[in-house]
Amino acid sequence: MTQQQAMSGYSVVQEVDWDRVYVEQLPRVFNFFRFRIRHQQDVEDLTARTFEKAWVARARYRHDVAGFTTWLLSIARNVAIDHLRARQQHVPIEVAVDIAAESTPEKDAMRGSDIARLIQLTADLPERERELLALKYGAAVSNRLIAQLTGLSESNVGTILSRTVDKLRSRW
Amino acid sequence: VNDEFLHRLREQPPPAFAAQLRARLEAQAVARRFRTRQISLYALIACLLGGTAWALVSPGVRTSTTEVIRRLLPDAVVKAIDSYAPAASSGEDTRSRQPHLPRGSQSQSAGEVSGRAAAPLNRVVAADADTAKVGSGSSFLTESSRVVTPTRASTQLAGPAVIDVEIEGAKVTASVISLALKPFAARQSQAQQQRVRAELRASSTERAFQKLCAGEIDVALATRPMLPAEVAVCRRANVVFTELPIAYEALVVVVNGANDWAQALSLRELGTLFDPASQGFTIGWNELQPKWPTATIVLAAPRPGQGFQESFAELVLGGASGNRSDIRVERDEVALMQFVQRFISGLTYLPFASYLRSDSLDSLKLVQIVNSRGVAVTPSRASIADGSYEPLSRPLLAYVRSGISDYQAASQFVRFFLQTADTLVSNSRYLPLERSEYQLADKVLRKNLTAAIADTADTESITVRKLLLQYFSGPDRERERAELDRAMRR
Repeated sequence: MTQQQAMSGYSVVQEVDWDRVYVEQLPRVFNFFRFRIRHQQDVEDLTARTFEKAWVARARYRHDVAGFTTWLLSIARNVAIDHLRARQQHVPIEVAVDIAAESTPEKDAMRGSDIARLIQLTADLPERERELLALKYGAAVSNRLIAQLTGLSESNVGTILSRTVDKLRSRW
Repeated sequence: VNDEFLHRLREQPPPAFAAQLRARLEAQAVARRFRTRQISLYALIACLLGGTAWALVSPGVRTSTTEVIRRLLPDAVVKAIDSYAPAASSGEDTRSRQPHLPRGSQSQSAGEVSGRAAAPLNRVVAADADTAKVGSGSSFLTESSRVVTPTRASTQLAGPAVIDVEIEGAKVTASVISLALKPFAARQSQAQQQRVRAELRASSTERAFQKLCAGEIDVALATRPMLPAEVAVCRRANVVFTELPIAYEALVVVVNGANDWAQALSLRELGTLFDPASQGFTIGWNELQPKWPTATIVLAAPRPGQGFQESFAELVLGGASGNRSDIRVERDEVALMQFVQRFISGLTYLPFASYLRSDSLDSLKLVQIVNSRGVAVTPSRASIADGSYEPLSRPLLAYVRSGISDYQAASQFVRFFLQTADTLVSNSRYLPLERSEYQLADKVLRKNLTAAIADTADTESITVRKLLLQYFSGPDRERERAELDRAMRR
């Protein structure tokens, strides 16, 4: 932003390199949903919905207000909230599943059952803690960014995550 | 914090999903850009038209424009204009001025004007063969257009007598026949004794049959066999004719070569995809078959007015005209194929002949079509010839009226087509018959054979071979059938 532009109150809207964004952000968003939603099909649907929403609303993205990851993850959070809300009307508890029923090739089965196991273990955790886990380990973003997204303080995010991970490790 | 067990749970999205999502986003970008461009273009055209209309209607603007032009011109030129047309320089409306013509000239002029006004507005008369819109595979005839060959002027000169052959029929079949107009005109221009002038009009199959049975035309062109009721009308009027196949029209549905799920589609599914009523809805593959991916189907269609777009609308959409405005519209079949090659979820339709001529068949895949018997059929020359690939393929037919004085002339033109069709049709959007079939059709015309086709109630399962063999019976029929089989094997 030039000094003159800054003084006149205008902001620079930088062109987003969508190719680069797609490659970088797709695994982030995809894993964010994986840590929250059990069904692979739903994970793909929600990831696609997030990118489509971002694409439609790309003209409204302000580089000077938030980083692209923050903006995209805030869309993903809203998509997840809408999905879980709609799902709760039909399924009382989404983790009421028998993870032993998974039958995939060996390695995939290991991973698949691990993620399913995580979802089962986090089922009784408060919503806020489950979301923090998905952002930290699924989307792989920093505590500072999580704090920006959730409105919590950075130290509070660290404390909650530390406590939650301890709890999970003891049950793992 | 020992959280390694959580970090290990991350994994990369499946590559197929990543590719499909990317294709879907690209398709949306393309559609959006196209819509924006279209709106800008319409706005520009509206502004230009509005501005021009305003400038023409407003006397003030007209006078000012005249003044500006007069100032820009040299004085000598302005004086010359003033001396020639004083009224114009003073801004008088030139429409009120009448030229001073002798009485005879005035009446002639009025006659010309009234004569022009009386002519049908939608009828285009090509003055000579060179300017007529004929001769190429991509040529198409506008509704009720008329192509005349050779030149009218040449027929008025002293020389050989001219016989007119009136041909009319379905636009698609007229497009095929029009391929022979120019070469035929060239040959006729060298005739010493008698010249045949072929006049071709594109209207519809029904209209052509009505005119044929009323004795108004010599050759009717059709996209379907004559119905028993229509044959009865002809019979009552004592009109006899010869029914001949002249080519095939076949459309195919293609998807991206990497699309390994879409094997077959029914007409209903195609209708759902391309129906203008589906506008505004994105349709996923899984909505057609639950086991298919959820990716959105990216559709492309040819511009309205293209012959095969109209045929598809007739065969699949029950005659609905126009395209969905939210799908990609391409100028021709080459662009349609390129579009599908770019998108893994792409789907379009095009003439089978154009598909066969493509040099990138590896990156495209033909989709089977479920026919009226519920069987999924792959488009091929064999399935088109045996009639199983329906309704997206059909033989195109010509009905030559016989038992008239002009029969020789009419058959002369159609026989010229049959003798050269092998080459002419090969470069068009239509599929030629086998050479042996053209030869047999030529033989039927040469011998002026007619058949009792009035009782052919089963018009759905008609095939080219059946049509040709109906003119023979007993041992002749078996001999001709064996001849066709032998030629096919060769």
